[in-house]
Amino acid sequence: MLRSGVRILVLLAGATLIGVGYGRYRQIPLVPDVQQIKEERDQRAIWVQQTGIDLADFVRHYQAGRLVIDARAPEAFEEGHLDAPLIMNIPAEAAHDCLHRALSFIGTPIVIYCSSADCESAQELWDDMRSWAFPPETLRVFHPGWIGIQEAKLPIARGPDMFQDDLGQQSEEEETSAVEDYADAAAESGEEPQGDDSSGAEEEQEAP
Amino acid sequence: MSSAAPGRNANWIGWTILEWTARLAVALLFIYTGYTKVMDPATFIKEVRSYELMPFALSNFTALVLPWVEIIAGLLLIASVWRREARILLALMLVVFIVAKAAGHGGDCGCVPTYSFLKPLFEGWMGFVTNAVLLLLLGVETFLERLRRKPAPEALPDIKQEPASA
Repeated sequence: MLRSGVRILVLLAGATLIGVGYGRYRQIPLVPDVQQIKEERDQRAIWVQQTGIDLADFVRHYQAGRLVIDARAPEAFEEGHLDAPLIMNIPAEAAHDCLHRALSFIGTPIVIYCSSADCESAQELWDDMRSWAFPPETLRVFHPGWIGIQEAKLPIARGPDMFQDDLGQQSEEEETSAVEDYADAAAESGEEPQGDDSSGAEEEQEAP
Repeated sequence: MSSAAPGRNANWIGWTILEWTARLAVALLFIYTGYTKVMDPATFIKEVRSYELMPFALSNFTALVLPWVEIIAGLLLIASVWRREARILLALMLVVFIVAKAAGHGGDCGCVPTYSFLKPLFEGWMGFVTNAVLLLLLGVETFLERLRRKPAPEALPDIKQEPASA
């Protein structure tokens, strides 16, 4: 009995060591900073309000053949995703490897979604897309995410991203130069980068 | 002996298969759920907080350590190393999960990611059933292992009382 107790303590100590080490590797603090979390929540609430798109507008968006981006992991996308005419799977954690696929849609209205209202992938991808010179006013987020899509009984499909074959066709230099050119042009003109179809985004924002 | 009908024969091959099926089911499920939590610690931290079963300050620590306990216990169960201790840990975790669900966290238990094919097994009341079945499988696995370890009657040494010599 005593031997079992000691062994269980050893197991727990081992798991603790690995867990704490892994937390340090992933830069997760052992004790959460309450003040920081509160600030982050407030900031997120503002961001959610600014970027949110309601169900009716979301349906209009994808039915019009505009781009929808699923920010979840590829496994999640394969299990099920919105059956939209134009949908891409750009996982937030691999955004920098995949975002070149969406470069031709810069300036057009784009809606991002992830797994649920609590997921952070959509926000991470939204931040990355901003840094890739996607105009923020054209980037909207369907916050209820995949759960909301299922609850609203929107059409769903299974299988991998059909645009995945495009991966690797564009070299890294080309991607970088395309983004830099766009950003430079926007900076020179002294205006917020606007796309051809940005009026569409504004229409969507105003829609009830 | 081992090919005979089950009856009271502890060495029947069927018991071994059943024991290993139960063992692998429990262990692999824990390894899988632990792995998914390790891969997405931020989501699991939120889920731990949503249970409100512990002080907020301990939520990160628990969310970082618990998945590794699941993985290590699952691996030990399969590897037949410190199996008894692994069983105790797994049983304790299952009991805690059942109690946590009963304590009002009846919706998403956070056991598996939203995209997992196992998700329906842990949603709502199915979470109770799944955890209870896992606990049962762990009990079956323990019982069968003990049954098999018991020496067969014919294998016992023949103890005869030697007549006392003068």
